[in-house]
Amino acid sequence: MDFSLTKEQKFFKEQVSRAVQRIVAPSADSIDRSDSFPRDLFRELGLLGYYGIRYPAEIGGMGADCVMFTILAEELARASIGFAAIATMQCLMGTDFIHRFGTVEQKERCLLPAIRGEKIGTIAFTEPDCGSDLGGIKTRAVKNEKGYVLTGRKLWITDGDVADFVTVAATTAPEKRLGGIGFFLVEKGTPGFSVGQKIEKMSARGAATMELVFDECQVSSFSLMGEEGKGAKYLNDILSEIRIMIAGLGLGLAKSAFVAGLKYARQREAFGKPIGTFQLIEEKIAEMEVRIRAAELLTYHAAWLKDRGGLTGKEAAMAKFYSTEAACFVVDEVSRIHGAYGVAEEYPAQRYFRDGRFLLFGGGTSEILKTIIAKDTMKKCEFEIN
Amino acid sequence: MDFAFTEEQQFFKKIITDTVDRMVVPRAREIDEKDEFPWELWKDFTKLGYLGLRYPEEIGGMNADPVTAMIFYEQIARGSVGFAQSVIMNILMGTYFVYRFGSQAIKERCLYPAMKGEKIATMCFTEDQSGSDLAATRTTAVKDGNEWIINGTKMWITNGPHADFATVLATTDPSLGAKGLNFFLVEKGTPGFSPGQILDKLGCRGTITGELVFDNVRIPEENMLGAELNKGVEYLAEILDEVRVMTAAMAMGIAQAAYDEGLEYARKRIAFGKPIGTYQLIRAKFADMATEMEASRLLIYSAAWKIKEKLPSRLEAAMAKMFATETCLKVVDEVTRIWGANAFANEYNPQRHFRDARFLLYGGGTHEIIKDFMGRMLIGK
Repeated sequence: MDFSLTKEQKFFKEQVSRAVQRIVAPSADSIDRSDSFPRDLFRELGLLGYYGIRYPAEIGGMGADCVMFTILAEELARASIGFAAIATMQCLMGTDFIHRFGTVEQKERCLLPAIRGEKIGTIAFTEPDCGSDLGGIKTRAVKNEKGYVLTGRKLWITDGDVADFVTVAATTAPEKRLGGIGFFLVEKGTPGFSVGQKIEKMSARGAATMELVFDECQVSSFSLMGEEGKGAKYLNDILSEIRIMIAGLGLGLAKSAFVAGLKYARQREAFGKPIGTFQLIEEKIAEMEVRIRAAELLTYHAAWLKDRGGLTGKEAAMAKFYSTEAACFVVDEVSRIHGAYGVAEEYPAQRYFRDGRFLLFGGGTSEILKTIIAKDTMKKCEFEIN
Repeated sequence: MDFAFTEEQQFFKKIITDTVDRMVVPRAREIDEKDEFPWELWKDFTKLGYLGLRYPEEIGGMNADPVTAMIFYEQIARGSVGFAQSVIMNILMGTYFVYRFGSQAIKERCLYPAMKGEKIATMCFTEDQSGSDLAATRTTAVKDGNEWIINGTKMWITNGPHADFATVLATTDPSLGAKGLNFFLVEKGTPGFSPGQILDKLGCRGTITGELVFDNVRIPEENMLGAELNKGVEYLAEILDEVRVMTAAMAMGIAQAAYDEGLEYARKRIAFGKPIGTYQLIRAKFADMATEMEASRLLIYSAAWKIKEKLPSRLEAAMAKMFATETCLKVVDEVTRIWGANAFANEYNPQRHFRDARFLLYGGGTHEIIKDFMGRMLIGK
C-alpha cells in the first residue's frame, strides 16, 4: 500500500500545474464572461502536447496513464471548467474513435493536427430528446452505395461551433436500440452538416454547447468508426475513463473553490474577528476538506484501478458521483462563506457556484450513476430476481 | 501509488474474517442482550494471540503494522462491537503506556499477561465533568516521598469494573491545565482503588463500562508512566491518530454488518409482487451506502498508511474518524428503513447496529471537537 504519487506523477503534476496557472488561470474570468472559444490559449496548450496525453509517442502523444490524465483534468479544472471541458474533450472523447478506428488518412487529417492543437474535435451523442438513454437516439444513418446518409439533430455538443470534426452517434437500426448505434466521423464543410442554435448556459462558459444539424449528410463508408451496431460497446470502452476524468474535474473545481473560501474566511472580519474563527464557519471548512479528500481518494483509486486492470464500472461511477456531488457541496458552502460577495462578479465564488452544476450531467447524471452502483453492489439481489 | 493490500494483509484479512464469523458473530446477540462481560469468548479468542497485535514478536506480539491493525479492528467490530471494545482496549489504549514506559517488572506483571488475555487492562481519561477537554481533569497525583497519591473519580471506563490494571490520567498541578497531566499505573488490589457504579447503556453492551474511584491510592514512583513529568499529553498524542482511525475502522465493521443485513432483506422481502431491492428508492440507498463506505475505507487505510510511514497523519486520522463514523450512522439508519418495522424487533440485528453505532461518536473525539480542530488547523488560527 502506498497512497503517495510516484516521483514521475509528482513531477508531472507540478509541471501541469505551473503551465495551467500561467496559461489558463489568468484568462479564466474572461473566458467565462465572453463565452467564446479561447483559440490562442487552446493552441498554446497544444504546443505543450497535453492533448495527446493518452496517445502513444509515435503519433506525438505522451503515452501517459489514466492517473496522469486525471491529474491533468484536475489541474485544468482548478483554473477554468470551461477551458477544462474543451481540453478534455480534445484529449479523450473528441479524438478516441479516430485513434482506435480511423484510417491512416483520417488520422493524418484529423487526429495528428488535433493532438498538436491545430484542429478541434468533438463528440455528438446527445439529442433534444435523449441523453443518458443512449438507445433512444433518433439520428439515422442509412447505407447507400457511397457510404452513409446521416439525418438528425444533436444538442449540447461541446465546441460544436468551432469543431473541425465530429464523431457522431447515429443508428442504422433504431429497433435494435443500443445494438443499432454506430459512430461516424463527419468533417466540417461536409454538405448537409451545419451548426444550429447555441445553448446559452450558466456553467462551463467558453466551451460553447451547440446544436448540430445533419440534413441528408452524405459521408463515405470509411467514416464509420469500427463496425455498425457496435457503437455502444466502443463508447463503453471509454466510459469509465470519461467518468474518472469528470471526477478529476470536480476535484479541481472543489479545491479551487475551497481555497477561495479559506482565503475569504481568513480576511473577512465580523464582530471583531475573522469569520473563520467562528465555529459554524470552521465546520464548513472541515466538512469541505473531508469531502474533498474522500473525493480525491475515490477518484485516484478508480484511475489507479484503470491503469492496473481490475476496474469495474462501480468504482468509476462512485468516483464521478461522489466527486461531482462533493464539488457542488463545496461551491455552495464557499458561496455562503462569501455572504453577498458570493454572488458578486468581482469574486470567483459565483463562477465556481455556476460551474459546479455542469459536472452533474456529462458521463451520467448522479441518478444514473446510482443505478449503476446499486446494480454492481447488489449483484446478489439481481441474481435472486432473475 | 498502490491501493492494494500486500499478500500478507490479504491473508490476514481472510483469517480474521473467518475467525470472527466462527467465534464472534454467533455470540453477538447474546452478548448484547445479557450485557455481561463474555468471559468464555474472551478466553477462547484471546488464546489466538491477537491481543499482542501491535507489539513486537520478541515479547510475544504479532508486530502487525497499522494498516493490518485496521483490518483487525474492522472485522472484530463487525462481529460484536461490545466484544471489540474490550479486546481493543487490551490491544491499544489499555497497554500502550505500560509497553512504552513500564519497568521490566511492570511489564512482566501487567503487559505480558494482558497480551495473553490473562489480565484485563483499561485506560482512564474521562471524568464526570471532563471528556474532550482533558485540561479540566480533576483527578490529582501528589508526590509523597517515593510514592504518588492518587485522588479522584473516573467515569465511562471501558473494562473498568473488572480491570486488573488501569492507566490513569491525573494532574500534578491543576493550575497547569493540559501541561500538568501524567499517566499512572494503578493495579487492582491497591488500597483505595475501587470500582463504582456500572453504567447501563444503549449500545456496545457486553463491554462493561463504569466508574472507578481513587481514594488516597498510594502507588510507587515507578508507576508514573512517562519519561518526563508533565508530558502526558505529548505521550497521548503518540497514539491519538491510531485510536481515531481504529474507531473509524470499528465504524466500518458495524456498517458492513448492517449493510449485509440490509442487502439480505432487500433480496427476500417482497412488496407489490417483487423484491423491495428492485425499487429505485431502495437501490439508491445501497448506492449511497456503498460509495460512502468505499470512501471511508480509503480514508482509513490512507491514514493508517501515513501512521505506518510516520508521515503527518493528524488531519487524515481526524477526517477518517469523522467520515467513517458518520457514514456508519447513515448506514445503520438506512438499514432500519429498509427493514421497515422489523428493524424495531429485538429478534433481528438492525436495532443492535443502530444502537451500537452511536457509541462511536464519542471516543477519539466528538465530531464537534474534530470539526473545530480541523477548522482551526485549516484556517490557521
